[in-house]
Amino acid sequence: MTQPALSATSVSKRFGDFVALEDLHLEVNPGEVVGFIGPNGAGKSTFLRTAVGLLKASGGELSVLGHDPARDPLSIRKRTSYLPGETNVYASMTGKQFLSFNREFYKSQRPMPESLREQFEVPLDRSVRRYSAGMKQKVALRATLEADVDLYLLDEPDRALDANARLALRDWIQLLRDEGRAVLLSSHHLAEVEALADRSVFLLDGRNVSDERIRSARETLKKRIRMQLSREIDLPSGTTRSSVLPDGTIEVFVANDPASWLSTLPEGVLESAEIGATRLDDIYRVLTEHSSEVNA
Amino acid sequence: MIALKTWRELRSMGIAYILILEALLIPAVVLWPDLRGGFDEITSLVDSPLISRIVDSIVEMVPAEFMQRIVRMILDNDEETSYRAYLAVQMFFKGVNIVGIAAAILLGTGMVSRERENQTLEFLLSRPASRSAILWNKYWVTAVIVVVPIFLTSWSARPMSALDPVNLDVPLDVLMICSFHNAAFVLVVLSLTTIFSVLAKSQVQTAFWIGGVVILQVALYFVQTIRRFSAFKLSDFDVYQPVMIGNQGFWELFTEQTVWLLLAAVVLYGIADRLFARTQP
Repeated sequence: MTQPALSATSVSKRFGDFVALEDLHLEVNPGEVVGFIGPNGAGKSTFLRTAVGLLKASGGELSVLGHDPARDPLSIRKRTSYLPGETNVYASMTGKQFLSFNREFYKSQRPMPESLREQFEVPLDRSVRRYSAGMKQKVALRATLEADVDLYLLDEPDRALDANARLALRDWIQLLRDEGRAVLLSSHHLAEVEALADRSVFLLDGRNVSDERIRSARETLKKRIRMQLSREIDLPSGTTRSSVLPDGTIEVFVANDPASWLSTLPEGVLESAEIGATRLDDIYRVLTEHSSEVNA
Repeated sequence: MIALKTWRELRSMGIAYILILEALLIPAVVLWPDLRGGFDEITSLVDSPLISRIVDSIVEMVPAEFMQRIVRMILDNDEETSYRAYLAVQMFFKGVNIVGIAAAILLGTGMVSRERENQTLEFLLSRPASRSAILWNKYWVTAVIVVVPIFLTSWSARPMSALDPVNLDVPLDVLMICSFHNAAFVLVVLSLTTIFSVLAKSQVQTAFWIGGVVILQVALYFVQTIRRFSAFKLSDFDVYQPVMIGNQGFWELFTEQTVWLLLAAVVLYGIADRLFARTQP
């Protein structure tokens, strides 16, 4: 059996009284892209920092490429390429100098695929000081993904990227997976994660969201209806929640079978309806709504 | 690679620093004949007991006791002794103690805190390099940029002094002994600055802390009764003048003072290294 590239068992991290991570479980295997999802402050960046040995876990077991990040961070960093979420590239350097500076740290490089060159094109001879946020992110991404390593830890890699570059990044990550590299991808663009990740791990308040809770969210979503009506009406009974979305769509959650509930609407009122949802951002929304309700 | 990056970042400031040191030294050397001429006129009158008492009274009016000794030394009958004492003041006591320390602070403050302030520290710390190697490569390049100009400038004082209108010989060895000691003193300041740079959130905060320490030390130095508690006592006229006039050799100065400065620089750097190992990006 192949050893996981990253394995976290009941990992916790505390900053004084503040609990950033609690009982976190996560596994990333070679040739796998795992989405790491959670709202701001959920603990995603803290976990990534802990995985590369920038922070020490307060408890639990964490193994990255067979090494403990607290004891042997250097062995991990030699085989891991990490893109921090809140980072900057050196303003005093040109793009070329920055890439060359980063290259020196790694034994070998895997150049950017030719097919993606256009989307990641930045004026490398220009000072980074004169780059836009998107250009800086492209250079940081090139530096991170060109390192020839076994595990890529990417914190918000699509930050500030335009649509074309986001698609190119998607291709690049798929390529890494096809080559057997492991990727842990933290992102707020759930569509990107959904398109890329073999599976996703949800994090809320520093804890994994349990499979049971995700199942429950999916069940809730099965009873969701989004519909357009031709005129305003009093909704029939049988809904547990209803709201009007900014584009005028009415969203209702029903207690029983959605199709039966729709049949109770007055004739000719219903223009269109969409029952259920399995998209990641829908699940994420239900989970985070539930979390804020619990916290409130 | 970190060393090269540090060199690229600091080289222009390093060049500015050496130019400032030279800019302070050149007029000091060139103006020496005029100054000495003025002294000679005064000392030619000292044969008269009355004039001698007047000169002594004028010297005693100089506000600080250490300044009185400087003036007396520069008024020495032997021009070479007088000139070397003058150089000890201009080159080491004034020049390096002000400009060298300013350079150590300016170049050292950003060592870590600038990375933190610019949000590049996390990127740097997550590369496959040990924290000790990262800090050391930043430190030694900064130290070289701070220290080498001290030796170069003091070396340049020798040919400058040999030319018209000064025409005096200053042995290279005394200049190098003083430079070595002065460099050790500046390294202590650089190591302390490194500690603050590791701890501070920004470069301004680092500068504020180390600036506070230096100002306190200067303030202590100017109060005669507590001067011995000032770090500047380890790098003042009384340290350099005996070496410059040939009354103290390298080993004497090294074993009595320089070695302790080097040890302090190493210990302070060691503390910075330990703190950096624990720092969070």
